[in-house]
Amino acid sequence: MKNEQETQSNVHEQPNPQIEQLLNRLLRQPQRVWRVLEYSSAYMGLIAAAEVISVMLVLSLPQSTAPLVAGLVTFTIYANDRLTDVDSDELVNTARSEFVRQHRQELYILAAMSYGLALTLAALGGPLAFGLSVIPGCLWVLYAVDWVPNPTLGFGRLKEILFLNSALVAAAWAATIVFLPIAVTEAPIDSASVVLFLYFFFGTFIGAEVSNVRDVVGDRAIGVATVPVVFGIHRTRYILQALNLLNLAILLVALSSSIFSLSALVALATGLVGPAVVIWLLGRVQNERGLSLALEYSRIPVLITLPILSF
Amino acid sequence: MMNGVLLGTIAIGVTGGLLAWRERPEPGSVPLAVMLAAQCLWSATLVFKLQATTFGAKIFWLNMSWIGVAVIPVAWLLFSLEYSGYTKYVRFRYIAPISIVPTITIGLALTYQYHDLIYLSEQLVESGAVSTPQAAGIWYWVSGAYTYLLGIAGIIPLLGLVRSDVQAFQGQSSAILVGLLVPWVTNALYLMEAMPTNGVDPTPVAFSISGIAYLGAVTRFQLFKTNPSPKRYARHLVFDQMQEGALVLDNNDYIVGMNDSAAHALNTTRTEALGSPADANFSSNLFHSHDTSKSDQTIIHTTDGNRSYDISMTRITDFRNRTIGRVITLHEITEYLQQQQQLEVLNRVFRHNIRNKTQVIVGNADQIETNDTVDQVEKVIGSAMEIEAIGQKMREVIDVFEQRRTHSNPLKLHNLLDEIITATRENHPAVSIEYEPGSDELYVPEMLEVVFSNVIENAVIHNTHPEPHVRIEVSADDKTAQITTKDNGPGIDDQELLVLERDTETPLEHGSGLGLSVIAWATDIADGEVTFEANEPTGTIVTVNVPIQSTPTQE
Repeated sequence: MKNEQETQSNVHEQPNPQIEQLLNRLLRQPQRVWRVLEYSSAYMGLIAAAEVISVMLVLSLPQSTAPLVAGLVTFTIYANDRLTDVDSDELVNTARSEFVRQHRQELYILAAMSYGLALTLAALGGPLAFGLSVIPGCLWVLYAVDWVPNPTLGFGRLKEILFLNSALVAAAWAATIVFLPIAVTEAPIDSASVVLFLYFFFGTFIGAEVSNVRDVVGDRAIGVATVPVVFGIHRTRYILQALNLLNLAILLVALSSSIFSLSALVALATGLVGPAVVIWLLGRVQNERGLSLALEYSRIPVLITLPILSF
Repeated sequence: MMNGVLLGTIAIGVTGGLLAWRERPEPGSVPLAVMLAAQCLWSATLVFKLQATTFGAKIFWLNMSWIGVAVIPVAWLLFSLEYSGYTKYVRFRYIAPISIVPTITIGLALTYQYHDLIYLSEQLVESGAVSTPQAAGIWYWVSGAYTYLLGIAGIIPLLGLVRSDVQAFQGQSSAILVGLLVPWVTNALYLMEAMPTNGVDPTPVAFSISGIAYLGAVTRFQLFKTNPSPKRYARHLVFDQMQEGALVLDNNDYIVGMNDSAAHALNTTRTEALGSPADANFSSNLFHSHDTSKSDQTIIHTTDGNRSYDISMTRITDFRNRTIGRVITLHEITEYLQQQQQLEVLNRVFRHNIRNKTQVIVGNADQIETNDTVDQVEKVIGSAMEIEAIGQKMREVIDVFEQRRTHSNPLKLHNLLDEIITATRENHPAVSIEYEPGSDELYVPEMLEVVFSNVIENAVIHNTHPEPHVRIEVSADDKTAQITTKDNGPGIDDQELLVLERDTETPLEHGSGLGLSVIAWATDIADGEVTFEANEPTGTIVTVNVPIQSTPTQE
């Protein structure tokens, strides 16, 4: 009888293994989904789509397929980049590199199909939208391939030229994000869109150079001239903070010229706080990968505040 | 409807193009990616033309579509050539001329308003009154014919692969041909106005089927993963670079193919020998003997005696099993024959000479036990010393063989001979040795020390003349030093010389020791020659010709 009671009490004390398994599975599932989104770079596509939505909100553009096209194009480019750099990524981000290696085939096919769908949707938006969607793909090819075969001509890969490497990435990104929704909706290019282009251009340029900080040793070894390689971490901080402040100054000028409303300016300015903090931490904290990731998410406050302030 | 289908072709073309692009540098990957990109451009421009609301915009996009139209056949031909292994034609010098017509086409399309070479009347085309072919100018048809010409040119190398014995290649090339034929047939039907398309060229739509076929070739038949391109080169490579000489003869015994090794063996060049009768090459005093006595082998030797070849013959038959020629392979076995002869000599020394001497020792030891005579003791000692001498010679042989594999240092010939002659004079004061040194600056391979010591030793030890005399002379030209040793001894037994000349021994015909063999082997390894002649009135003349070596560098 006593034994029976003890057994019953044990049954009550021990959690049901099936429930525990279910809970574990439910808890693990989001982690797994997030892992797939992060490692496959699909989250970059989501961020790009959200940024296009924010541009559409600021410029008051009608609804269109532009966010979807931008998201698909971005996913394609980043997925290809992950695939190209899978070997060099192994030292920096082993888990991601392992994931990419394991799903190499699927990731490439998915990226190819994604770009095919993006260009199809872009073609629906007209020639300009189509051209804007083609440009990032072309630049990706030029960026990664030895487009000038003779090194004695003095041109290396675009990747190896100071400022130009990050500027190209930033220009391609900013043009896609800002002008794609304009092209799809056949809206005119006005001052507000130019300011937005500069905002995203400088933001992306800063992001690219922050990422370059963790690759200093490798970039120096292969002769890629980035801001941290040429100027060192200390001076890189000053340069990038100056660019971030320049971005703020452009927004203030836009406000004073009545190009943007105050609510739009406040929302966009929230996207400059994150970069300022990350730049300040450069060289002061060891987790450079974390800093890069933090910078990628630094525009999330814009996406949150903009709809709130808009309505 | 048409708009939707064209959009679908863009999605498929981009996906297929990116999949092909990833496979760089696999043969055919880049031209295929370019072809699919051009197809997407063509589809996209037609979509924009359909979307356009003004006449000018419609004509603009119609003309822009010529870029895709013009690029596709060139890319197709390059793809076909690369994929089937004709990569030597995928170079600027060939690409430039085949791109002339497409370039002119694009140029004419972009300047359409100044001529009527492309359209007789673009208004008629776009008004829907007539289709493009009805209003086509002369260059429209030139470009179309040229496109079909390149299309057919690209099919030819693929047809061979459809019949390939590798199943994957059959599948790949079949899928590629389907991918090509569908748009071509669609375009032909459009030009013949057999398809109601309201003036819109449906060819890019057919390219969506091409895209699926190409994707099928990539995924199902592993296009780019396994590729027939190396096959064409591999066969040539194996034939040209094989170590064995190989000759291809036709049924009339004319040489129709030959690799470098065969040219070297026949002491000719491929240019000279190709197209000439095989007999002329084989019987031009180059090969002086055929030996077919040993098993099924046919062994031939060059007249200079430096090289020997084992030849074999294989019939070449066609699909009806008729002989259409022969392949003759020449396998150089010079070294093998030398080693065989060396093993025969060593075998004889161990089996015969040492056994004889051992028997002498055993026999005399028995007699010593019973008679205890001084004479037998001397015989035992003598035999034991001869065994010791054989052992010494064996060590010399091993050293000589060893130097075949290792670098031999050059030595000054005068110093070498002077040292040997001085030592011989000390050991054999009764023999008069005359030395006529040549130049003081002659260097010869180190291994020749064993040659000269054996030559001089033989001339001195075996000299039974009452006034034994040996004369050593050195002469030289630019490349070769000649060392002649003349003695007045009894001369070398003919049997010994015959064995040396034949390079082989039998139980009944063999030499008496290792000395002559060591001389012959070491001279041969040093790339020299040795000859033996009778001296007048008695004795032997041994002449050693060796290449002069460069002065050793000071370290």
